[in-house]
Amino acid sequence: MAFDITILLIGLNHKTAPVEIREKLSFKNFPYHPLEKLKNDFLPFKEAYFLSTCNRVEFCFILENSKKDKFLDNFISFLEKEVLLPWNELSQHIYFLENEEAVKHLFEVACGLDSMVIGEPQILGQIKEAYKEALNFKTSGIILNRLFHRCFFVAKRVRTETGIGGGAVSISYAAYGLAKKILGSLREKNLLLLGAGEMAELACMHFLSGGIKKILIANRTLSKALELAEKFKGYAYSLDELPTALTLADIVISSTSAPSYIITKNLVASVLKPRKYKPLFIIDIAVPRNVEPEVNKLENVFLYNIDDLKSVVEENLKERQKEALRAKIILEEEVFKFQKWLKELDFYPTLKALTEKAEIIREKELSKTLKKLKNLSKEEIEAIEILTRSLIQKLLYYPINFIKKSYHEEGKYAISLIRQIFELDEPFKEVSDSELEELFNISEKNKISEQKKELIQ
Amino acid sequence: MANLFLFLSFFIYLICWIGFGFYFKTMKKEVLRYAQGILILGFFSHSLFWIIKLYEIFSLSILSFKDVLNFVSWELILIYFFFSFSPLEIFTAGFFLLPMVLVIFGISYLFPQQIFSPFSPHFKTLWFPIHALTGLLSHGFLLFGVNVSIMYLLQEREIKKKQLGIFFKKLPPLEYLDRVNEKCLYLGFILLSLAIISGAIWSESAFGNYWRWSPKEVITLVLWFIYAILIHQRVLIGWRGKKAAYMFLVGFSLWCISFFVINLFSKGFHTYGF
Repeated sequence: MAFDITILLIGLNHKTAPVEIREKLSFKNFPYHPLEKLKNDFLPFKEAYFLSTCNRVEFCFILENSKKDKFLDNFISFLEKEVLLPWNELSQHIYFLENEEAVKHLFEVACGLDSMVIGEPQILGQIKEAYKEALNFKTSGIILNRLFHRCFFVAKRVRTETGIGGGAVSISYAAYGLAKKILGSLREKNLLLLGAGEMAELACMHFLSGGIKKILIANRTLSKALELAEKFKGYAYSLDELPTALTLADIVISSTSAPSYIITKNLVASVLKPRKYKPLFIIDIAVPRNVEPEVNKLENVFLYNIDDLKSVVEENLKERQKEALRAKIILEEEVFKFQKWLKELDFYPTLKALTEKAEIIREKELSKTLKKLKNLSKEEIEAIEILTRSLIQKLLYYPINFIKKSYHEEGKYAISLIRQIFELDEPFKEVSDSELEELFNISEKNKISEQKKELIQ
Repeated sequence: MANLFLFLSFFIYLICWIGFGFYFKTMKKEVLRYAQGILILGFFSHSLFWIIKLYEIFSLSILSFKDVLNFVSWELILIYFFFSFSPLEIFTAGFFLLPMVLVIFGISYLFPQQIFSPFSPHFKTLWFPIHALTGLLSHGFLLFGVNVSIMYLLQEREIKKKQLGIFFKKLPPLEYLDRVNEKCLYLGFILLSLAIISGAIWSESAFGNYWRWSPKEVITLVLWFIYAILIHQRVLIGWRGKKAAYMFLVGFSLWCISFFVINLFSKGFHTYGF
């Protein structure tokens, strides 16, 4: 890149660093935000952003090329001081990505392609939070603002155009999805928890938020069932009352530590008639299993054990991996678009065009003058050339300074303004003397009339 | 003129099926909206065809078998809209229903115009439209029920076998399919009963006896009994899901016999041609 800034991404994630290193670098229990500290320490960066989740810690900086080395030295000593680990120990876990690579990595992270569970949506929210913090500390400028807005856009695009977020990837969510597919809306359905352990509680969380009608709890020791029933505002049953509970239930989650089958085929077959053959979905997450596999053969009874659910999850993960390839194509396109935008921000081509144009005008005017003045010595010609050159340099100082100073705030608007003013995108056209006269006469006239006004006043 | 609309609607339904195919693949709401828009357009053109055709039928006093068949396909679209505006969101049904509609279109096109039933004087009573409309509508609900039953069976198989494939991902929940099935059953039964009753009264007024044991009547009676048994079992014992879906398929094969074989190859007042 001809542009004299670098996008630098420094970070580590669950693939490169063990949790001991990650937690030290997470800056979670620190009295100050790292961005605040970096800013107060006057590290030579233009823009900065910091993300910390349980699986990754990432910094992203916009640096001037000339100050890159100095910045890196400062940053490394900052890290060493904060996390109290020598750099040679830290450096093996940390990745450095620059420019295109950094942009691509940020997009990948936002889409969940770099996550432990591919396509998980939480990371996008975490990035949004981190970006907000950068805005709060005023460390985000034109480039990062643009970069993160693109990031959010890309993540949304990937989510709608590919199936990266499709299919359940946790056992409890897979069970919930299956229940919805079998029973439709769960609002009028009853859930029976068999066994009052922690597993059962965890497994029914999705069902609870999905708006189940009633929760029934059957357990060997009734007191525990009553305890849980109170928590979920449900109804407790002992194991002897299991047939009654089964008659009422539409979904059964079984997770007892019983050594043999609690729900047998005969038991379920006997409740089918009182249930009027309403569909019954049994989820057996216990090992050893609580439900006889033959139960699945009964009409309108669907039995899934832990392995069945696991294979559903694995199938979905494979599907997501396939979709990730499609997502990468979209990412590449978006990285290219961002690079293009960055190049537009680049002011060197404009500076070059501006000086070239001035040089052409200077040479033309100079040759005209030199034709008229024939008896000039070499020194005199040189003096005239120096004069014209310095005239032009002094005039061009203002627009060039304007671009260089304001590219950071106004971005490409400053550049396009200059390009328009000096007609840099149009073919060169010499301004005729009459045109000049007209233009300057008018301004002369204005000046005179203003002087007159002043006199009258 | 009528044929122009007929071809147009066939063509639009074909495009619409492709649209529903896209919806089946992407499951996007916008795609569905487009597909349903096209379906409405096709239905509109199909309805225009039927307005012209009805005028023709009554002015020529000829009821052709191919038109009867075509009318059933028109009803199927109507029933699709009836169910898509219900809270049971069975939109993907369009993807399965349209091939059925297109096949019926194709078959009806193959039948020559000569297979028809002339309007004898006893056609000119109010009983004829009542009998024909209720009878044909009950056929429509039966066919729609068959369609939904097939969807149910495809998905049920995947869930039972624990191989969650394409139908599991795309089709509406089993419970919803079963409920649509139930509605088709009740509505089909009521309409079929009305058709039999109106037919009996009509028969009495035209020929002097209520029931004449013609093959069509027998088969229809069997179909009615199947419906009645299904409803009885459903309400009292709880036959639903797979069993109900299979019963619909049995009903469908009986309907095929009554509609194609008996209508065309047996002689009697219920049949077309000759």
